[in-house]
Amino acid sequence: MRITADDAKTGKHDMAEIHYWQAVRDALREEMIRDPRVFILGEDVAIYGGAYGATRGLYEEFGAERVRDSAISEAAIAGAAVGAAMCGYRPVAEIMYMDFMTIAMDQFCNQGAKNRYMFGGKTCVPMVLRTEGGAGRSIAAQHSQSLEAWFLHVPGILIVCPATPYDAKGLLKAAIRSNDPVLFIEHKMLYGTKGEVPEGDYVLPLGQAAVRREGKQITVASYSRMALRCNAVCQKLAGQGVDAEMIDLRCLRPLDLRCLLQSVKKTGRLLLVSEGCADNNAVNEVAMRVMEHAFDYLDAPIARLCAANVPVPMSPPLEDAAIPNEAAIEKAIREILK
Amino acid sequence: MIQQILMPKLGETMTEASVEKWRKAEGDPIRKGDVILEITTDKATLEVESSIAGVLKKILAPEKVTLPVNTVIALAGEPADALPDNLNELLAAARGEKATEAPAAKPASEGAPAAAPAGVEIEAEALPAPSSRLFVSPRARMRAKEAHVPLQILRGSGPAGRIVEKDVLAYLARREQVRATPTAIELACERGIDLTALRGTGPGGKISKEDVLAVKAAPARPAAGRERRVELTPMRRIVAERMTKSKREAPHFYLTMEVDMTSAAALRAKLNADLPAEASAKAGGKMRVGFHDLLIRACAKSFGENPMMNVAWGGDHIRVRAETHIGLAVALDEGLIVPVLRNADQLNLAATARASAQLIEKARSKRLLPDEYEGGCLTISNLGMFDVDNFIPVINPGESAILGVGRIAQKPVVIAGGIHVRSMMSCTLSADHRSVDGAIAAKFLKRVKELLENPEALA
Amino acid sequence: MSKQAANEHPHKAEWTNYLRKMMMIRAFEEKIFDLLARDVLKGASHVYAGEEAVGVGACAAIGPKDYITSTHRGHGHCVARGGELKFMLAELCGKATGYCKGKGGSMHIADVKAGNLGATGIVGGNIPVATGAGLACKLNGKQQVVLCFFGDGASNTGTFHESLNMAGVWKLPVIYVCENNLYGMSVSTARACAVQDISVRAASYNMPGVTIDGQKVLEVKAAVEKAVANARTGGGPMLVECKTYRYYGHSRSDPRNYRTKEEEKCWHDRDPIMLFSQYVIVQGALTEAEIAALQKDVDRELAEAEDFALKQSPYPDPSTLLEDVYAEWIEGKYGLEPYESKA
Repeated sequence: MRITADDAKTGKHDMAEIHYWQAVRDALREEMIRDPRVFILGEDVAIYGGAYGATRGLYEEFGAERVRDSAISEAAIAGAAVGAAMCGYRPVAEIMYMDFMTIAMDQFCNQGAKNRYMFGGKTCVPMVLRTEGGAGRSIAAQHSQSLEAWFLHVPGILIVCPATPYDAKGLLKAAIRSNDPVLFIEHKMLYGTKGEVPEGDYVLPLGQAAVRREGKQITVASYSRMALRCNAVCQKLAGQGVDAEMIDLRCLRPLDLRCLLQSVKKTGRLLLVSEGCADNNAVNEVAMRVMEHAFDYLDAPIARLCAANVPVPMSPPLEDAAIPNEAAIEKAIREILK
Repeated sequence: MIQQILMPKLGETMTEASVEKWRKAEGDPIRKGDVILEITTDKATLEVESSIAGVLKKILAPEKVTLPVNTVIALAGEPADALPDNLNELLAAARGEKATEAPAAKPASEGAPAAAPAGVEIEAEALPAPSSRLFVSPRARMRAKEAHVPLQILRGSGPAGRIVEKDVLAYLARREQVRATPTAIELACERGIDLTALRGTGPGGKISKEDVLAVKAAPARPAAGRERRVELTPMRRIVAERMTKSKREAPHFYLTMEVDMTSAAALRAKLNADLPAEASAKAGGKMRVGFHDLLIRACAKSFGENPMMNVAWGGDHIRVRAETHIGLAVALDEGLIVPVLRNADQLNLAATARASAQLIEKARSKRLLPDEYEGGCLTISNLGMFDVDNFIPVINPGESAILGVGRIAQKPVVIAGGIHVRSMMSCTLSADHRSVDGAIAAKFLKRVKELLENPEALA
Repeated sequence: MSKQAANEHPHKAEWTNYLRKMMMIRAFEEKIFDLLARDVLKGASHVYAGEEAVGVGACAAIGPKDYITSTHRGHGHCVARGGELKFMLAELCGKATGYCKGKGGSMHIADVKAGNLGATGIVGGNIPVATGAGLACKLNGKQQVVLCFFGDGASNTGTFHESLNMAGVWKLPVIYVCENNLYGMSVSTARACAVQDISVRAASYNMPGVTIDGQKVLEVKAAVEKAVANARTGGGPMLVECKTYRYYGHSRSDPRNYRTKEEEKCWHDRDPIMLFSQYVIVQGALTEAEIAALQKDVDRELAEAEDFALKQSPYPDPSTLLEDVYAEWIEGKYGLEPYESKA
C-alpha cells in the first residue's frame, strides 16, 4: 500500500516514533521478509549490526546466508552485488563510509550503472548500495564527505538522500523494490534522530519531493541533514515575517523538478543548500534545470549555500564552520529577499 | 617619405573637431582628392579630401575624440616608408591626451581611455555606462509585459537598482486608481508614458488613447533613480562657451515691441494659398512663405535704412559691414544652430523663402558649409511655436544684436478709440551697447515693426 | 547413416562440436582483424586467435544453467557459450540486430539469458561480478557454477584479490579461469607478475589452483570439469590457469615489438586447432576430408554472418539513444520520468 505524507499527517495509520537507524533496519527487515531474494552484504553488518546500527538484529533473524559479513573489500562488495543482482537477486550492499565509495566506483559505476544499457536492455541490476556521509563527528576529511555530486554525473544510478526516519524507511523500501541500481545515502548525524513512522508497510515513490512548509516569498530547497536545518530556519523565520517555502528534495535522481518549478513560479526566489562542497555541487544541476524551465519567473538570481571547498577538518569549530549552519542559512535567505 | 595628415581648419571660427568616420583604412592607397575621412565640428559634419597621394600608413586619431585643429591625425607615404620615431607621442596627441595632465585633474569618465603612458596601447576598462540600461528581474519583466507596464518609468528597489516584481506590482496598484481605456494602457506602455501622471479628458477623468497620443515624447529619464552624466557634444561645448563669452563681454540692453501681424499673416496666407502643403525646393518651384521669411525681409530692409545697425565690435574699432547676412536660429535635438542667409537684402520674399527652406533642411541634416553658418549680422530666434509670449535672447558673439520673437496671438487692441481683435506678436531686440546705442536700435526695430505691419513692401 | 554410426568414434559428435567452435572463433577473429584493417569495423576489438582451446574447453565443462563472465578479449567465450556469429558480428558493427542492440560493441557482448553475463572493458572488472553470480548460485542451492574468465594482467588487479578472498571465505562455486597469454598489453608476465604461475596465488585464498597447457582443448576441459564437479558439491572455488598465447597484438594498432619472432613461431607451431585436428585424426574420430568440410561450413556461416551484419542489418535509430539506461525510468522534459505513470 502507498501512504502519502498526508495520510501520515492525518494519523490514518498508527504511528510510532523511532530512530532513523531503526527506520533503515525496519525497512531492510520487512523487505527481507517480503522477498527472499533480498540479502545484505557489507563490513560489520552481521554480528556487529552495522557501524551505525542500521542492520541490528538482522543477522540473528535471517542468518549468515542472507546477512553476510564481508572482508574489507569495497570493490568486491559492490561488484558481488552487481553480479548477484544480474542473476536475479536484490542485494543491499553497504559501504560503511561514503568516502570509501572511491574503491567501489569501478564496480558500481562502470559495471553496475552501465550493464543494462551496454547489454542492450537485456539485463537489469536491481541492487541497492547503502552508504552514509556527512560531517559532524570530527572524524576528518576521509570519513566526512558528501559525494553525491560524483554519482549524479553517471547515468544509470538513482540517488536517494533521506532526511527523516519516515523518508528513510519508505524510500529504502522503494529502492529495494526498484529494478535499477540505487545509491542510498544516509547521514551519520541523522541515525540518532527520531521521527514518526507509520506501522506497517508503506513505500514512498522515488522522485517525489516533500514540501515541509508552504510559503510565498522564497523557496528553500535542500536534502539530507541540511534539509532539517533549512526547515528549522524557515519555521523560525515564519515568526519574523518571512514566508519561506521549504522543500526537501529527498532524491537527487530522479529529481522532482515539477515540485520545484511549481514552487519557484510562485515565489520567484530560490535558495539551494547542500553539505557537499561548493565546487560542482549537486545543487548546481538543480539550479540549472530550474533556470532552464523557470527563467522568466525568477525575481532574483538562484542562490546556493554549500560547504567550503576544503577537505573536512577535524577540529570541531572548524568542522562546524566548514558546512552550512542555521545562521548562514538565515543570512542567505534574508540576503535574497532584499 | 612619411607625410602628416592634419586635422584641417574648415571654417573661420573652427578651432577643434573630432573624426566622425575614417573612410579609408590603414594600407589603402589614396589619391589626391580622395575623401579619406569625415570630421564633425560644432556645426556640421564635413568630408575631408586628401591633398597628397600615397598609402594611408597609420591612422592616429580615433573616432569621436575632439582634437585641436592641426593635430596630426594620420600618416601617409610609400608602402616601404618606416613609421617615425615619435610615433607614440603622435598617437598620444591624436588621442587627445595632454602630456602634463594629472589623472586627478580630469575626472575619469567611465568608458574613456585612461591617460596612456607613452607607447602603451590600452583598452578602455569595459565598465558598463551607468543609467542607459535597465536592470530588471525576469519575473518583473514578465509581470510588466503581461500588464502593459513600461519598465522605463519604474524605479527599481532591488539590489543595484534592479527593478523587481514588487516595483511593478506597486505601480500597478497606483495605476488601478487611474481610470484608463485598455487601448490607452497599451499605448502608454509602447510610448513609455506613466499613466498615473496623466489627466484624462474623458468622463470622470478617464484617460483615452487620444490623451496618451497628445503627450509629447518624454526625454529618456534616468533609470533607477541614479544621477547620470552626459558627455558634451562639440556643439554643446561651443554653445556654452560662446553664450558665456557673449554675456560676459557684451553689455546687453533690451527693447521690446508689440507688432500687429494681422496684415502680415494675411499676406502670408494669400501667398501660400495656391501652394500645396509641402512644395519641393528641388522642383524649383515656389516655397511656402514662413513668418521667419517675413522677419528676415523686414530686418534686411531695416538694415538697409539703418546701416549703423549693421556693425560689429572690433575691440578698438567698430566694423561696419558691407553685406547683410541674416541668421535664423534652428533648434536641433542636440542643440542650437544658426544657418545664415547671405545677402538677404538682395532677395525678394520668394527667394528668401526658397533659400531659408534649403538652409533649414541643411541645418537639420548637419550638412551646412562653413559660410552658411558664419558671418551673420543679426540672428532671428523664434520661440513662438512653444507658446512663449516674449523672451530676452543672448547675442551671438560677432553680431551686435539678436531679435527674439514670441507667438502670434489674438489680442484685444485699441485702434482709433475702439477695441479690435488683432494678431499680436511681441518681440525683443537685444543689442550690444558697445557698438549700438538705444536710439539706433530703437529706430531699427521700429522700422522692422512698420514693415511687418505694412507687409506689401516686403514681397 | 547407421552403418557409419557403428564405426563412429564415441566422441566424434562431441569433438566435432569443439573443433567446429574453435574454427568458428578463429575464422571470426581473422575476419575481425581484416575488417578493422579495412576500417569497416570501428572501435576496439581484441582478438582471441590462438586461445581457442581455453574458451571452448572450459565452456565444454559447464551446462546451460551455469554462468560465465567474459573480458574485453571475449569473442571466444561468447562463441564457446553458444553465441551465433551473425549476432556477434552485427554487435561489433554497432548494428541494431547485434546482441546488445549495437550499444555495447566488441568489449561488452553479453547474452544474459544464455548464461553469458557479459564482457567488460575494465581489466579485472568482472571478477567481482562473477563472484556475486557465484553467491547467487550458492543461495539458489541448485548446484550452479560460474566460470570467471580473466587474463594474467587481471590477476594483478585489486579486484582479483578481493574477489578470490571473498570466494574463498564464503566457499562460492566460482571457477576462476586465468587465460595466461604471457603478456598484459606489452608488458610480459615475467616483468609484471611477482609469480610466474598464477595458480600459485590460489593458495593465498585457500582454494586449489592448477596450471595446465591451454593449447589442448581436452586438457582444459578435463581440468575445468574437475573444478566444476568440486564446486557443484560445495567444495568452493578453484583457480585454473591455462598457459596460452594470443597470435595477434593486443589490439589492431599493436606492432608487437615486445615479443620475438622465435617465440611467436613456437606458439604457432602449437596452434590449438592444428593440434586438435591432428589429435582427432590420429584418434580416428574425423578424417581430413571431414575436417576440410567442417572448415568450409564454418566459412559459409561466417560469410552469411558478414552479409547479415554488414549488408542487411540497420544501424540503431537515434531515437533509441535514451532507452535502457534505467529499467523503470526514461529521460523526459523535466529529467527522469517513470516509464508508466503511477496512479
